[in-house]
Amino acid sequence: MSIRTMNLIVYAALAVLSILVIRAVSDIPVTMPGDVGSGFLPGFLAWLILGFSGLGAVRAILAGDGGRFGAEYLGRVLITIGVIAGFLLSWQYLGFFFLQCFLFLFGLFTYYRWPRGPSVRLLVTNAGVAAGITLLCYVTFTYFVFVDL
Amino acid sequence: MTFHYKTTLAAIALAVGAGPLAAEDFPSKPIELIVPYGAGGLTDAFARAIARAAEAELPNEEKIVVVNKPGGGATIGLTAAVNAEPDGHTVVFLTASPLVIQPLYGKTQYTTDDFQAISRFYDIPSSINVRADSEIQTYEQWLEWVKANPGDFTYGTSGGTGSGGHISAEELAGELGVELRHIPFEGSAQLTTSIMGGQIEGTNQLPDLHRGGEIRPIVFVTPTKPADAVYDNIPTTRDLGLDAEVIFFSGIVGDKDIPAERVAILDDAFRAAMESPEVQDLFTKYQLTPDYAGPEEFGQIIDNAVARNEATMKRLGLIE
Amino acid sequence: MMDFFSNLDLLMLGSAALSIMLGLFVGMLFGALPGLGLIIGVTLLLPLSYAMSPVNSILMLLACYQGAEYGGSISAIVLGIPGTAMAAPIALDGRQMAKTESPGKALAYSLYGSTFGGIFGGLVLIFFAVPVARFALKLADPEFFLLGVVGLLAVATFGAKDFVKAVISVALGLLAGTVGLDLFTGTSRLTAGYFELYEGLNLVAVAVGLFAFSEVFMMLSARINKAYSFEAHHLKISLTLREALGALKAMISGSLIGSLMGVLPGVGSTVSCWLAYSGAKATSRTPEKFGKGSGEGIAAPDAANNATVGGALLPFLALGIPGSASIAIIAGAFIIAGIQPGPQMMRNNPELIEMIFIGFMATTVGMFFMGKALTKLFVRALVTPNSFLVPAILVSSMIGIYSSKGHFFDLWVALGLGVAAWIMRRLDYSIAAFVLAMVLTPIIETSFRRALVLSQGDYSIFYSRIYSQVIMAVIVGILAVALVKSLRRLRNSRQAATKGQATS
Repeated sequence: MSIRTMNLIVYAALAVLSILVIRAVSDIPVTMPGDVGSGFLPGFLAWLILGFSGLGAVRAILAGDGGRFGAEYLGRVLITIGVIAGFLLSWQYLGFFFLQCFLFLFGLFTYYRWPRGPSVRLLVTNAGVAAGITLLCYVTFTYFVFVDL
Repeated sequence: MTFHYKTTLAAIALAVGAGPLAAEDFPSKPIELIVPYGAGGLTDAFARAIARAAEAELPNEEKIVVVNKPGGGATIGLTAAVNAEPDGHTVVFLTASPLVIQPLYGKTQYTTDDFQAISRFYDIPSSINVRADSEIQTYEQWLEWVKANPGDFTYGTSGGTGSGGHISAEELAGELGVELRHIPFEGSAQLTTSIMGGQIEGTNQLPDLHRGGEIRPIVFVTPTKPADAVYDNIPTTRDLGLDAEVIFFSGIVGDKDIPAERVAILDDAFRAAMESPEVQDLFTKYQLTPDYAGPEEFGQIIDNAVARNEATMKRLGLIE
Repeated sequence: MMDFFSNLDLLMLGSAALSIMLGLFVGMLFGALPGLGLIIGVTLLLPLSYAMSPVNSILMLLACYQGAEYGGSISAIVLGIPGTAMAAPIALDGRQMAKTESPGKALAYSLYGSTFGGIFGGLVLIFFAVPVARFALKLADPEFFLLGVVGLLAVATFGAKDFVKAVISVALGLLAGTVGLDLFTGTSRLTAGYFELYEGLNLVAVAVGLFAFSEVFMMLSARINKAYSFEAHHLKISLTLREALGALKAMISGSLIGSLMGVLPGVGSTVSCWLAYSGAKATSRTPEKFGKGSGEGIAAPDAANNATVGGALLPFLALGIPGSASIAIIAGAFIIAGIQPGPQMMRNNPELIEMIFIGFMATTVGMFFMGKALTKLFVRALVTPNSFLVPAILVSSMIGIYSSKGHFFDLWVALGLGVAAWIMRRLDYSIAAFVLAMVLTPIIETSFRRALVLSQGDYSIFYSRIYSQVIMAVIVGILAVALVKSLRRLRNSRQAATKGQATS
């Protein structure tokens, strides 16, 4: 995908967002004399974003395609986002935070470091570091910050 | 029906002589005291002090765990409280607004009636104030001025439109038949800057004359005043015989289905906790007057507040 | 003053000292690790504020700010990779000196410069904050609205690579700031029925999502098992008196530029660093050494970026208006503690202000000693490969967000914003402008609307007072500069285009 295409996609998304905002605030009434109303600023901003997105889109079309918009290791980023989402879901619905935290860390360490060549030593290091971080979080948040995770 | 069932059980328990069962078995696990605000600040400090002191008064040596559940204008904490099991192990420490104002807008997942009053500890006083160097010195002068200049008396509140400060000032305006103009502020720092700078004529807030503040209270819209001699000559709306009064209470409530005997156990513990030195220190530190009310009296205060707020909010067009 | 000191007790001092050390440690560490930097460090420390006293949490965050400004130089000198954008000029001479003389000496120039700049910025803050705040008591809503606008315009025009995208970033930030219950009507705006949004978007979640998550995704798009290698000897950090005096002029000019740039909204450390570097070069007796390992070339930008901290705090403490994204996040600690910075704070909490001033000086002194003692440790930390860093940062980010309010909702907000920011940062949208705008929204919108409610709809309130006229003039000035800049850029690009056609 070219940078131009990506720019246009983002401008389109921003335009959709602005239209949603404009619709959401259009029916808020003005209740105080002299006030511009709750909907004024969000509405104004949404129109501003809409306008500038249009401007940007025109500029993007006129400019060259700007090279490729790609991320190296895209798969790794997407998998990480998925793992985070999975971790959040499991934390929200299962709630064994520290156990899951350890597994999350261990899993990601192993996944990221796998290309170095699988070995028992690698797994042990990963488990050790993951356990250390989990323990640190446990001590900090249970005894100092008093947050029930 | 439920009631009969429970009394029967209790009767059986007594008859069998099986020792403590139904009511006496409470609490059977730590009590969760929800504070619907973030950690820090007056309400949180009080809730924590009360919780620590009340632990010692509870039967079965159970703990009281304070849980901060802030957000949604304190309504998230109250929602959590009504969604919990109504067995008395979850109660909430709150101030007036989320219980007697927010539900009236019809957007909360609970109504005031979903709660059972347990104990009220103190009220926050509030008064209509002007600058200390203002030509308005007394309530009479103020009344004369606002009658002569309808709509020119601008007053700020720290909570914004539809907050307790706004509603109570408008209730007074309605009773007196005068027109005041509300200016919303966020937090009391800006409010004070603004009145000192002459942007607004007055405020409706807790006055700080006793700490050398530069705003002069004219009339208290609450029946209580801060415990300091400088306020002795300032009238309350009750003194003046006006039918306009607000109570910014702070206390503990729970789900309406909590059995009465458990409410009584909790109330006893909280009432006794008010006498603890730690809690008394907080009262002195914040210059608040301890003002205990039990389930029945607190319940009436709540009902009364809802009725008054509803009437004023309808008049202001905040609700239909 | 006397009775202020008699009120101090040992426990309070001890906990304040610990908070400062923690802040410095995290700041230096995050500043040193390439890619992480100041804002992520401050953001991750913010949740700890909930368990601390207001003074301690504020000192911790300020110490983190100071520490990160120095920490950025560590990797710039040792690896040649600036840990933070503002350390870029330091990499020029620092790397050279590390090669030709010793890394320890380069680090010493950096640390002496940082400490000098930090103290200088602190003095500027102490001497000017109170008078500015006293003056600000005269200002009213129209002026605060206009000051907020100045801040936004400065961000959109000075700090931006792309004006259109900078405006969109600012507008999105402002829009994000309007989410929640509206003060004036009591209605909820853009909350889509989520009660978690009634009090607005959680700043911790937004900052973590935008800075930490997006940065992590960027790190993942590069090689993550790379371990930097360097020679870890000659790390004795000290200068002879002659060397220190030789760089004194550069430190003074750097500090002056840094603190001045810090006061201006939206400018920040990066600009002040480069300005200080060229300023020092212009006034140096040995300008030919610049770029080849000049001590002055290290000390000047380092003094500037640490002097920026004190300067940037000035408008925030005195007026309540944060001028940069990092200050905007530190503002979060004040909000958590229920303190409204601004002229009233100077009046109502003088003891808090005194503590901040004293603590601020303590952070710079602490930084000097910690830098001397621990720089070696931070140098070692540089070898931590990203494959370990990334998951650790993810976990601490998520705990941080959750502990701030206890809502899972906020975690999802952060993840969503992180993904969006990851895409948009690479298209030159500015996340710093977004966060700053979000924090400025209440000031701008509320002041604007309250001024109009007070005047009952009469717009002349915005230009009828002398103060607002002055600020209006500043706004016109900024707009003029922006116009000239974009016209010049347009002409340049035209010329480039015609040249391009001529050659093709």
